[in-house]
Amino acid sequence: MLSVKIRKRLGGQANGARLSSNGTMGGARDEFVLDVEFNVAAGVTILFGASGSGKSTTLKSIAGLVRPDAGRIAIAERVLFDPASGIDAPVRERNVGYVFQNLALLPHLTALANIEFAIDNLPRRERRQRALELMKSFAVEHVAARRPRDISGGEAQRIALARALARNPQMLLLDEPLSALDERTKLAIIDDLKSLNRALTLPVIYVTHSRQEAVTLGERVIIYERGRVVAEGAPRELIGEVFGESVGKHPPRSGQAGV
Amino acid sequence: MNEIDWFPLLLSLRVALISTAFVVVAGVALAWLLARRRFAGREALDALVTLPLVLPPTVLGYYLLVLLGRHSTVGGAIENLTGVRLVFTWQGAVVAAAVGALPLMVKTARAAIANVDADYEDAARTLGKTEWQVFRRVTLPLASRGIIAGAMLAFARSLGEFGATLMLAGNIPGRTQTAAVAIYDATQAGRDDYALLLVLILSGAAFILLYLTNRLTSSGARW
Repeated sequence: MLSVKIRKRLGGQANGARLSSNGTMGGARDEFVLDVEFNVAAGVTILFGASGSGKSTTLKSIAGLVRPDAGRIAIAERVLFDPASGIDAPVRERNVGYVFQNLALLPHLTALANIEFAIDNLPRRERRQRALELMKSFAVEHVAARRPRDISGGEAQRIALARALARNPQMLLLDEPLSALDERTKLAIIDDLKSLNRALTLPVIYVTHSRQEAVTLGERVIIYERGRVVAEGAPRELIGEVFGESVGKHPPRSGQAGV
Repeated sequence: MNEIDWFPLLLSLRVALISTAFVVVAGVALAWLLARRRFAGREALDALVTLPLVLPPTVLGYYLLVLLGRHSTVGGAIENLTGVRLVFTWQGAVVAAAVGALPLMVKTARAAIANVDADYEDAARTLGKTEWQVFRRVTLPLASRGIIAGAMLAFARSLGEFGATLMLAGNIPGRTQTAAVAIYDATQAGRDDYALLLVLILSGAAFILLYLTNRLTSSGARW
């Protein structure tokens, strides 16, 4: 069980708190406060909402990549973040599997080396064996020697998942990882994820603004609107069977989401 | 001209190599700080590091003399600790060359590091890496082209440093006289053939280095 309580003022950038390298603060978007509290059990929980509603910042806060102003984050008995008692575990110690929206496969390493990168604390032979096993379980062992730029979107996606799982994380955070894929690949990976998750029994948070992904993938959905949780429950009841449609710039009204 | 004096060229080469080694280490550290950390006075630090690019070399030489002279605190401390005197020695020429070359290294490396998508670094953090490992295994290799280009520019700049070198290291033939200083000396003394020889060699080296730098930084996506 992952329990999350986050409060953070957002400067108005779509993807939250990281200041861009050139220091622009934009100011194009209005500020609001991300203020959420929820628990996530094993299985896939969907974080659904318009872009800029605070979903990515929530994931980054859980992983420790962004520091909330206040709150408390704990997985099972272990507290990861609790400024009131001076706890703020560094990212590397949080043991979180994270798949970025752009996947962030290291471009200078082969697919295999990307996975080995995650487990280079293991002796060489063991590391190689574990990485190859993971690739096999995602049916991508044929691209082991290729660089990320030379593999397809679906394959890259699977490598990123395999890499995120290599260290046996205690939770899996997926930030719109399928948004760039075509429909067929997307469905295939969703199936993989589902069977995988049953085997893993990890808490998985899957961020998306696509209704279709929310309905097909999740057992539970949390709906965000401008930094607040406006609804929680079964995806089909909350979001309905509207396939192939995304929430656009305008978030759904809480009334329509229906609680 | 019966016997060509190669000492100034060899000295310049040695000075430039050692200067570049220092500049790469200090320059990459500064560039990382400027590109990846936010702190008060960040742009002021950048301006300070860039200053040698626009100041008259004599001003730079003056500062270095005041700062590193035997009777100054810094210069005295360096001499006590390492036994190296920096005024009127070839080591002084290394310092002059390094200070002049640092801005080129920092500017180029800062741009290269800022260009590395921060998600790659974050991904490495979630994969259990320390900040040093993130730098060593993600930031550095992904910025390597820009860093190598910066090092080549720094080397070219070090090879040709004149004004500050003259003031700090002096013009002692066979001891501190670098190629750039020797050219000045030779034209003053009417040894035009020798001056021309050094001019052509320095120009050729600079041209080749700049050409390679351009090829390195403009040849499209690498990954």
